[in-house]
Amino acid sequence: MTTSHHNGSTLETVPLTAVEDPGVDVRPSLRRSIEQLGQRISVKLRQRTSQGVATYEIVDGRHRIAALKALGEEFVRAEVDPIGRGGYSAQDRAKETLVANIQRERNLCAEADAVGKLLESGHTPQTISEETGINLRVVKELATFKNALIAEAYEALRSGGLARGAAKAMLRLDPSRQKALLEGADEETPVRVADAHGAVRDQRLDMLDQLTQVTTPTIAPDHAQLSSALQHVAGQYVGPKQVVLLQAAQILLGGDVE
Amino acid sequence: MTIFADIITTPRGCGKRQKGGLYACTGLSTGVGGVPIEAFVIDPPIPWTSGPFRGVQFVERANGPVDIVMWVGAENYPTVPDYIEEARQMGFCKRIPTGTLDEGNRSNGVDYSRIVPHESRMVLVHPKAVVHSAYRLSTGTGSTPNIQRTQHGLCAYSGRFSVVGTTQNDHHLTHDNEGPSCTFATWDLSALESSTKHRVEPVDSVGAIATISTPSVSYHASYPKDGTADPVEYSPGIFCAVPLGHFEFISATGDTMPEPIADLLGANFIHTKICDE
Repeated sequence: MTTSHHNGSTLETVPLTAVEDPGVDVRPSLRRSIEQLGQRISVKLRQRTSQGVATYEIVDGRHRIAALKALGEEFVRAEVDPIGRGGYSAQDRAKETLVANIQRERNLCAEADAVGKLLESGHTPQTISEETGINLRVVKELATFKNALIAEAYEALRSGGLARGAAKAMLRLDPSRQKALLEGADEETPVRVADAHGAVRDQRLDMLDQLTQVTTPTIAPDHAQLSSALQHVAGQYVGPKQVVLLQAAQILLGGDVE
Repeated sequence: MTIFADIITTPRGCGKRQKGGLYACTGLSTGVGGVPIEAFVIDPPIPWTSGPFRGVQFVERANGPVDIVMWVGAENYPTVPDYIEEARQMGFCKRIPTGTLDEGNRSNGVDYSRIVPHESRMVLVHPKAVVHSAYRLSTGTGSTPNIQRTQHGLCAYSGRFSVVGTTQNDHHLTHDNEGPSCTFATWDLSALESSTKHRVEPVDSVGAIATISTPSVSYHASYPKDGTADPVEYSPGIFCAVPLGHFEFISATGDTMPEPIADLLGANFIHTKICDE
């Protein structure tokens, strides 16, 4: 077991058999990522010792542990907290989980920048997905944030002046409408999701309005013309064929056939 | 009596028609009073900003019938001309959803009884209809369809358009990133793309004209000139609106249609051809 010190905790390689059951389903994308790239981020465990045998409670990283177990791995890299004298309550555990999740909250623009750099260097969304284990849909969405938002909107998203939900709705707006939305907002009244959705609706109505103005030639069959053509062809035959063709010509004109 | 214009049923870019499938169709001209397909191409394209979608979207026209908007996927039709050239030879035929018909429910809001044949339009959106990049098109001739270009740097389809009385196409042969692009420019620009469903080969050693082969058809285009962006950037746009002529249902039994699908069609049942393939 390798040990190193880190802020009072120790970084260790812990046998998975000693870790409690994570009690969650395996996330396919996470399993794929760990399978391809290995475990990149340590989990956080708390050690308990009973009759000289160490067992570990999971503080953070249930899904990573579930994926490692599903892959048949024997060890997990973990930050292990020292055993507290006062014990460790369910409330302490909940707080730790919350803090850990907040500290590793996704940074959308950093991810979008990274996807953008990979795309510029010749990767495709497919290869990024294959090499990182990130779902293809997520890769494409990150690329869209980078490509479809105007620079001002992207910077506002990066600085926190534009919420992710509003930015996502703005992806469907053309550049001039994105600009107009941002110009109508300030620090006190930032762009709301509802504003962005409203602009998307207006844009769609304008688009459909353009469509209704398009004149499409008619192709309704001209029965009189067709009937005339059939009569002409009928003239080239005699007997039953001619009769059938003439009857068809009559039907086209809405007449009855005896 | 309903006359069904011809739909060619050999495999298309999107494959063979499926048993149980309902299709919106506009057939080929019967030889009398036909309209050139270019007349239904919307030029310049109308940018589509509502994202990709499956199935159909109904659009009410003021004081008019309802149109149905459909997405043409780049997986099966990598470029706009791939779709148009197939339709030129085989007619328009797009599968339309029938919803979840379990227990007789009419779901997903589809209701084809609102369609008025020959008045309602099939409006088609392609992800690569609007060109954002710079391009320089050739003034040469020899491509098919024969795009007539004047000496003034315009690409005018005057011969065809004057027949049907639509507006003249007056877009320049050059485009510099901004302003509306020309839908017909996508013919020549498609010579720059190559994939398994869109093979491009020069016609001769001069290399001015390319033969473009799709799974269903082949056509010619002139290679764009230097100064054209590589790769060309596109975004989705409405590129075609054609009156919907009739429906076709591919019956598993050859001559019958399940009642729930007949319900979706309503009175348009009489404008529906039941086929076995």
